[in-house]
Amino acid sequence: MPGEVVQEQARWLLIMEKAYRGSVETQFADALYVVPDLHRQSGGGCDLALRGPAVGYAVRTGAPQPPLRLGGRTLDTLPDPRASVTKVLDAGVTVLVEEPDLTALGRTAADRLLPGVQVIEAYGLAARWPSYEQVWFL
Amino acid sequence: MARPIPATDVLLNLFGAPHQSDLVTSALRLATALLDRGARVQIWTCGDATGLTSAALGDTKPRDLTDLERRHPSTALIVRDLLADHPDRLYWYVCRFCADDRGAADQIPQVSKRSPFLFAEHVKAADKALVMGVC
Repeated sequence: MPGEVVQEQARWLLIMEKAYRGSVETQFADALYVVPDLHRQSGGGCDLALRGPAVGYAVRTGAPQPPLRLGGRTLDTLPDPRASVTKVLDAGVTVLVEEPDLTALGRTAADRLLPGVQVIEAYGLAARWPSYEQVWFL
Repeated sequence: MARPIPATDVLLNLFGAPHQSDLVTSALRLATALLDRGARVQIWTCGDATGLTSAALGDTKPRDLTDLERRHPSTALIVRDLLADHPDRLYWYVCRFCADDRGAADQIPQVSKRSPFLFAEHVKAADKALVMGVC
């Protein structure tokens, strides 16, 4: 339509392998924090692949995120990666994990995967790279 | 004249950088556990860990743009409050060279910047020393 800005879907693949990069100093600003906005900036074309230890971000632990007491302060604003992944999913980002990385987290890990997270075959991620305009490591 | 170094039970040498792992959190948890048991503790930061108490951090982290009402304390405020909670039992030292080198020369007044040439004196002033991470 005239005057309407049509933004082409960019198709960016965001890969996250390094997990648990700080708690007290990080709080809300973990590596996942930027993903929903990158998704928006790309025109809604981001996929997020969690690999290695970062797959744990998408696996429920069964226990609520505990607060941390430091002296007289109780800090209840530590990173909550499962909540962050849920926000990423809610923003419309496709979240992928490779099956061997999920299996490495234990026999029950697949049962505890956050709803909406997709499991792909071993080495399936690299095979998908050509379908993306950009591949980023976060 | 050199400032005296208080005798402590434990010296925690926090050398690892923040935003890389849970090392900083572990150091603060360990310090809290020691202080809860009545210990006297000194913490010496080197490398990028000197930035934990940079005055430039202010009291809060930048606002969470997805939750504007919530405030998140900076590490500088967390350390400042931890020191206030344990007067005469917790001391926080910052390597002057590292702080200068990493752009964190301006520190909160509750911590002390010390020359790296005094480091061995701090080790001697503690019954035990633990190195956490590498610069």
